[in-house]
Amino acid sequence: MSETSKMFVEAASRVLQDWCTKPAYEAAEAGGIHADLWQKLEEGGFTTLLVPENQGGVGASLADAVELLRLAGRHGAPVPLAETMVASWVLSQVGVPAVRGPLTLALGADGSSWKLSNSSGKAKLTGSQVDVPWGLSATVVVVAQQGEEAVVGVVEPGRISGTGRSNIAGEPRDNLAARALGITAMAATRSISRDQVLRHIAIARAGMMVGALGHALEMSVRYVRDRKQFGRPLGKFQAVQQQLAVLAGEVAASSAITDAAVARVDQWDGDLLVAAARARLADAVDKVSIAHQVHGAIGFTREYALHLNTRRLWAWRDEYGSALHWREMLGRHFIGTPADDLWPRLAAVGREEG
Amino acid sequence: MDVSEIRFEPANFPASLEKLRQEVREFLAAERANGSIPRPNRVSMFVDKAFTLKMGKRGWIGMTWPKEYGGHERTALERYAVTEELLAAGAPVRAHWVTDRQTGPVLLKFGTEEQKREFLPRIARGEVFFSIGLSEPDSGSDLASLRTRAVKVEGGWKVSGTKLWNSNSHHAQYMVTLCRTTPVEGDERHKGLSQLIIDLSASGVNIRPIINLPGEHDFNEIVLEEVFVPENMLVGDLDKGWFQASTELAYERSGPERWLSAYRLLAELTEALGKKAGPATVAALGRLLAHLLSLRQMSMSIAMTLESGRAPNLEAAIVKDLGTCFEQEMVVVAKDLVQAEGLNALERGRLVQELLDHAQLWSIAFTIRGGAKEIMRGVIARGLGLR
Repeated sequence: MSETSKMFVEAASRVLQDWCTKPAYEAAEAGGIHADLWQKLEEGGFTTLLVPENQGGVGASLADAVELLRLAGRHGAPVPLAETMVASWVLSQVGVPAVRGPLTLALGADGSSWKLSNSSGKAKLTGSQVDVPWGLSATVVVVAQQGEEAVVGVVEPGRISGTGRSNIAGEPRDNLAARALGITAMAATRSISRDQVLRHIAIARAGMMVGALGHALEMSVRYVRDRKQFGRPLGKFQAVQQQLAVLAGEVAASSAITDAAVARVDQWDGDLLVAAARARLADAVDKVSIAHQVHGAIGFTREYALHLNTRRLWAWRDEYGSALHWREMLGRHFIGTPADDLWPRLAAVGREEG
Repeated sequence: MDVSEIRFEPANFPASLEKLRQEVREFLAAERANGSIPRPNRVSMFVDKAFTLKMGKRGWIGMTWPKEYGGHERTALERYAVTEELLAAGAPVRAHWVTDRQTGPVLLKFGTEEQKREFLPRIARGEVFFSIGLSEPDSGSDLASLRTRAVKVEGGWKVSGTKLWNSNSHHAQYMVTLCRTTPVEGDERHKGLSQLIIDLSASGVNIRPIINLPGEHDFNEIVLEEVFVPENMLVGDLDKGWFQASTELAYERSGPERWLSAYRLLAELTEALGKKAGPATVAALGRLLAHLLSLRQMSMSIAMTLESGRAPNLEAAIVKDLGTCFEQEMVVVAKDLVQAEGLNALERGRLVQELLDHAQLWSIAFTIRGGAKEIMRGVIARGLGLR
């Protein structure tokens, strides 16, 4: 961890500890954002970590931002922090002046896409998308790949119509639709692409997933050390130890491949490593039921905090590219490779030259 | 402990390794082209002593050892790179593999000057192989319960007992044998064990083959009847054999062989599936590759840790558990993909089918050898503070 990262992680840790409490989760479940929590995050500079210093941001690396997002994942922070970080970075890349958060990202999805156009000096947005995080309450930053250019549009909160919905974790995931909607700002660039933005937010989400997995494991370890049955702590039973060892392996593997993908997100193999990280994480999420199993009935309640991590993990598994999407992308890259060429191609992943 | 401390340092391999990798690839391609080694149709390593001698000449045995003992003073990362390349190619390196990986480092660390001079140069040339004398009929995972006894006699010991599951011993000249040199009781039984080098041609050594599940002669049983072992064949300190053997197992557990044992199946499958495979097949392959790339990150991270001199026992246990389970699952996934794409009926699917059949039989061993999965998970649970 870099010094910048350490400093921010310590500061963010205090904010998240103090403010990720019942009212904040309730605000999210009602479709909104807890104003005090958000204000603290903004004041700490956490939302503009990725924006260059000369544009009023912190100018931190993606690795630094992901360290902080791991923490947000641990706390199940019920705010679009990752979205705001990446969307602010997108705006800084296309030269749109900074917009106050909270921001969200609308990158389009398979089977739907956005179209941004400029007619007689007026920027217009057409298209639709399901499951946009805080799509109805945050400023929406739309990114569409139009030929060689990534076109970015900014839509003020409430301007776009849609249906309020939520994911399995109770986080707002809204369906949005627009037809020739006049929008606040629009810009185009060749310096970034829509897929690059997807990679960034997908790996940002991966960091949150690693944090949430790690915390679910920690809660489980703590619980089985305290909870006694048959006259001894649950953690003394081999059956329980073996299960938690499996979960620990899943967390370790997810963490390792996520770190690798973060480090190389903008390199030639960035899409492969992000795909590998997200595909690996999906399998880890599918084993987080172990955390529930060792908790017994108490984990199957809203009173006990484990669900703040596990419900999010189940939702996040398929957000910003489903598990299937990332598996297929990775498989597509290698399938059909002559047997003796496969290893050199695999071993090149993580290296400077492709 | 804080669980979040189980974090693998990101692997960052120097570009200089690429030249070495290329060298190994070219050598293997040439050997394949001139018919010295076949395109593998099975997943286990096999013994080819002529090939092992070539490896010795190339300097790819004892890579990290000092030159004065026949080594080549390469880095642990260089050795790691060569290891990966050999495994990925399915090279016939069985003869020297374990001796290079385990015996050499143990002799280097604990052996006497005389032992180092006697054995290491011959190992590095690919001429001498050691058997690993740990398991016994009544001592598998519970190794400290072993019963092979060494009784002190004039000038050495007389060793009696039975060693079991000795891979490759019918090709080996020596065995590093863990045996009891001092009787102890109960909780103290990890003490009083020593490692002795036994000459397998000595009087009183009887080697019996045990045919394994795939139908191959890999295992042996070695019965020792009052075998005389001279004093200078004690490795390290008397009664400190447990610690030495544990060190040896860390080398065994942390390498890429834990996730590249059945790699030829994956390579041939990836080719045979072809670019026209359906999306579900593509995704299933992608999922396997995601596991492989993740394991590789962890494994490389461990190699870097070893380079820095730390013994990453917990991390090694994690990689062994995940890696071996991954390879077993790969076999199951491969079966369904072969059927889904109809490869079983195609000529280009024949090699995959042969590898698949062989992998099915061998993969049973993956989560048993080198420390059973349950033992690995016990090590991890201790790391979590549960034991």
